[in-house]
Amino acid sequence: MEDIIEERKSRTIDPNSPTAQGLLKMLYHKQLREKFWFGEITFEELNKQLLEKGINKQYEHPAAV
Amino acid sequence: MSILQPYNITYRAGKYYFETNNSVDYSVEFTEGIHYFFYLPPHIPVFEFNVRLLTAIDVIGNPYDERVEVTIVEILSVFFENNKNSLIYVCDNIDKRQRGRRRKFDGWFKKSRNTLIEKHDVDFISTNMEIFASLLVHVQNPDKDLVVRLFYETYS
Repeated sequence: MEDIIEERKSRTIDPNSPTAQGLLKMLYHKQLREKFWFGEITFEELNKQLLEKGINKQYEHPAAV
Repeated sequence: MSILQPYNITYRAGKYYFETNNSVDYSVEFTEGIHYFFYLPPHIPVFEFNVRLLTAIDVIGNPYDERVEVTIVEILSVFFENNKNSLIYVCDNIDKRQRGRRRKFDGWFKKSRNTLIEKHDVDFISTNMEIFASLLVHVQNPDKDLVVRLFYETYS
């Protein structure tokens, strides 16, 4: 029984599934913010790339990133 | 045996901040997950969890500091005081150190010894890169079963 519970708590999922696609967006957002913090992209480029990746988030000012 | 205390935590503009004895600054934030998971029912709050190192670390690196873990565990405890909250952590893979990040996150969770929080892990391969992510959910969350099924893609 314990094995079954443990098995349920870790799974490999389909990379095309909504969860996987959401996690990839989350990861992409995280990496875009890093690029902005390190000066590799501008504030405008950050917001533009978020939209292009289908991430429903726009920053109103740089301090909010 | 000494019990480590968390560092002093401040909260401003939606983020938690703390500074270590080595003058290393961190921020911890919880961002709304609805930006990524469009199928989530709007009444179920699921957040993204991010820890950011704010201080530039030189070549000597950032020495291991157990109080950092204790502090992050404390922040997570505050977050889960609302048992409807859930969070998702995805391990950054930009430097191919995602397995190490998963181990660290697992360590934080184990260290918390919080029996009120359940952890669920998923992994998948995308463009030849392993992706690891975890869902933390309160055992008394009224929507726990739905959130877990959605996370594992077993909702129907």
